[in-house]
Amino acid sequence: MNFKRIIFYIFFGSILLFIQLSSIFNRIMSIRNVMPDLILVSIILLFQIADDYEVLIYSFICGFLLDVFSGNLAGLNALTFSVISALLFKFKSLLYMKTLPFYLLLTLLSLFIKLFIYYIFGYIFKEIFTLYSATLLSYGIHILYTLVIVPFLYIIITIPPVINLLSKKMYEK
Amino acid sequence: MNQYFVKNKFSITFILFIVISISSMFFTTSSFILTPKIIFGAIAYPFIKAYNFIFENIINLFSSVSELKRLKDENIQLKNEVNKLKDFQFKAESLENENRELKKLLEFHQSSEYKNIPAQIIMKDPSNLYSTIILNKGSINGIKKGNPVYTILNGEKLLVGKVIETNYFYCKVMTIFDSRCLISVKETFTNYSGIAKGDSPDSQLLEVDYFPNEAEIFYEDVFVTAGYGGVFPPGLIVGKAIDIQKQNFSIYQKIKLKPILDLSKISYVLIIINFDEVNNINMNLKD
Repeated sequence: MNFKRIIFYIFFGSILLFIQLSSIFNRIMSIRNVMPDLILVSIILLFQIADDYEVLIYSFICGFLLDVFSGNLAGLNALTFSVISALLFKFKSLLYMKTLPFYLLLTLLSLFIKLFIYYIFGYIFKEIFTLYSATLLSYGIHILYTLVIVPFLYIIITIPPVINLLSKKMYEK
Repeated sequence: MNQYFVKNKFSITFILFIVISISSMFFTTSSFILTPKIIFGAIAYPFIKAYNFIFENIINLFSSVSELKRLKDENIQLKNEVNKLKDFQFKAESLENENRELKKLLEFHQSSEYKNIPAQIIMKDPSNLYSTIILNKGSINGIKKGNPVYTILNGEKLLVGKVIETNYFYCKVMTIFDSRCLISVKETFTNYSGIAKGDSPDSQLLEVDYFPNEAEIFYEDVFVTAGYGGVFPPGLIVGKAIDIQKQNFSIYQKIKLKPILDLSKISYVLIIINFDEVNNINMNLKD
């Protein structure tokens, strides 16, 4: 793996994690105390540009760091993001359209998969860990807010220097 | 073998990640000292602290320009208040001396004081599933699991929550909004007590259970910590009653509290680090 790419992943991932977790941005950005899922959006967008294997590692590390500094069940976000990366890899042949509406649809599907995994593991660990069912309104805001964020991250990720750095053709050369 | 790994590296790594994630979920509730969570936390903390410093300064720089005019007006207002307070201080000092002398005469035991450590809120749970916050003080500063956390807003002491997890450099606090946080509360006028718990993430209100039906509670009556059970010190404000439902066929009434605490408005809190010791001393004195 190219050194510049590693630096990019560390820098990009840590900035997104910081925005999502920090109390400073929570005060500025949150709507009814709900923040968008920036990491999930970044995984979906990066998957279309960067190497699959690198994105899998990126998603696991970001997910784990999110777990460390948020809720109680360490590994839940790491697992969720890894599963989403694996699903994107599995159905890669179907994901040929690289347009913004397509990314929005993909984000929506991924958010539902994420919530599904949350509930499954919340149920499995319910004796030692209580996962509270958030209200429909909170989830609704979370989903809509995440979808609103997609175009902004799309612009950042599709700027030529980033594409040049991450594109697989360049990497293969 | 090497070729097999190269060919299936995605699948092998994916399986490895799944195993790590699931075992980490089991580790979370076990008694291992070095869990993956603690190791990851210790590695990532310096980065978070650096980002926090940079972004806070940038945001402060922009906001300070816009706040200059407001500060000027506030300064004049505060100067007037200082003059008034100086008068009060003079009166208070004489009353304090008088009080001390009277206490000596009555041979009252002076109860020990709590030792506080100020801490900054650096992170907040983004998922909104839990009401946890992360503070920049950890076990290295003497923070222990179970330490009560409070803040001072407009001269009033407000309960924030309690420490549920400590790392070397930071600690995690379960706030009063969390439904796992049970607080023994009492109403300030009647002194009747009950158990308050959070309603998060459904709402930002607290529910009071086991509150006797005969107690007459009115809208906006203040509830403070009762200090029973040795979890929180007494007298910290929890919230105001906004919904009172008397039950016809029950000995308890249902009360909903609106906390005065607003986590989005506070940046600093105080952690009581010697609560257990003081509590024990006070219990011994009572005995």
